[in-house]
Amino acid sequence: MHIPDGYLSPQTYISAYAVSIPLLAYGIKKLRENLNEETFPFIATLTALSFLVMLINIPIPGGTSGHAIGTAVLSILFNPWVAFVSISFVLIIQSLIFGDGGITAWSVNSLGMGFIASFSAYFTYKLLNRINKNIALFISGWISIVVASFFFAIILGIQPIIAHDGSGKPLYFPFDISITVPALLGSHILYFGVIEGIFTLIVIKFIEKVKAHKPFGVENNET
Amino acid sequence: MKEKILFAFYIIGVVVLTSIHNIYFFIGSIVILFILSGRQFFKITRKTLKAILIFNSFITISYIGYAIYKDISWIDYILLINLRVFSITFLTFLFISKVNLFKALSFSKTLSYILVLSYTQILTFKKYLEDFKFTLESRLLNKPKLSDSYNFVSSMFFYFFNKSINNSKEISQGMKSRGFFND
Repeated sequence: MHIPDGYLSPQTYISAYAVSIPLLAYGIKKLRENLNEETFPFIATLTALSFLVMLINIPIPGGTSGHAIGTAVLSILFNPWVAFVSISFVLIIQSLIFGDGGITAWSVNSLGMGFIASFSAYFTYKLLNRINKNIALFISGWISIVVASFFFAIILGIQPIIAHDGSGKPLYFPFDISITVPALLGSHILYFGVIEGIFTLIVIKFIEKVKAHKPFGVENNET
Repeated sequence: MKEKILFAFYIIGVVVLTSIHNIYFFIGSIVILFILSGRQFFKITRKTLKAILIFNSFITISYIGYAIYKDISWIDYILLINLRVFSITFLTFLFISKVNLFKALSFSKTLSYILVLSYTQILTFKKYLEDFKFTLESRLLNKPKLSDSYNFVSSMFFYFFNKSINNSKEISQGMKSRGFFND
């Protein structure tokens, strides 16, 4: 789902940096309030865990497979700030060390895959958990990806409006919202969201089954 | 200090490359980047092409189809976007190959601690993940059932989940015992 460098206008990514950096700083501050000296190692190991999740292939019924992001899992197991901070650091490492995703697009990727995905998953889970836990887990994972993809569709889709030359030709991402929203939402509703939903469901159910998840120093229900 | 200055130049370079829309400027920039890459030219070019191939091919083909359908010219845009993405990605790989990133990011203690710790954990976890995959493959004759695959993925995640929690405690204690938090 990463947006690479070169497709976003400076107006977009600079504005996104202005939002994502304070949010990340606030997220780290919130973790420090709970963890103190354990904050850095905790974020670091969960960042590594998030990185690893993106390398694990999840098979889905029908014979295909894809990788999850794991934002919903971390958000439900810990809290959305933990998930947001971890995913944001994964994205920094991916863009700067592995050259995957972009340094200019980091801010938008962090807001979409980190902030929006983690908070949408968390609140969906809180809402649906009272009705049915399995459905709540699946929908939380699914919605985290779908909402994030909608955000990316809007960001990419406004590029031709924000930046075009005198003849109206795009300078960055070329397709407008009428194309990006159905294209990105469709693929994420039907495919990537399903992978994330399955991953969230099976992993959290497994952890609960072996009754071993004891969030470390972070309150589960704290946002 | 050298790394931090180079990092600042890298950031300025990326912002400039995303702000200019002249094809000749990008051709000139790419030539300069090729020269700066020296002996690593082939390696960085290969990495760059590999990194941008899928996304750019998808956008390029889609836009050409869209432009033909709408009867508009596509060559200028396709050249501009591909040259821009190539030059930024090449610059990033060139920067990574020449600069110690952890020193470059040491202007922020928090950022550099977390990045160093995360990176070392990632390397360890990647090795374990490979071992898990080999272990599964060595025990299977046929493709696993869906339920078995889910059990495998879940137990693997559980292992790494526990390892993350335990490692973070160990690292924290190790840092504490070495006086890391005293200053």
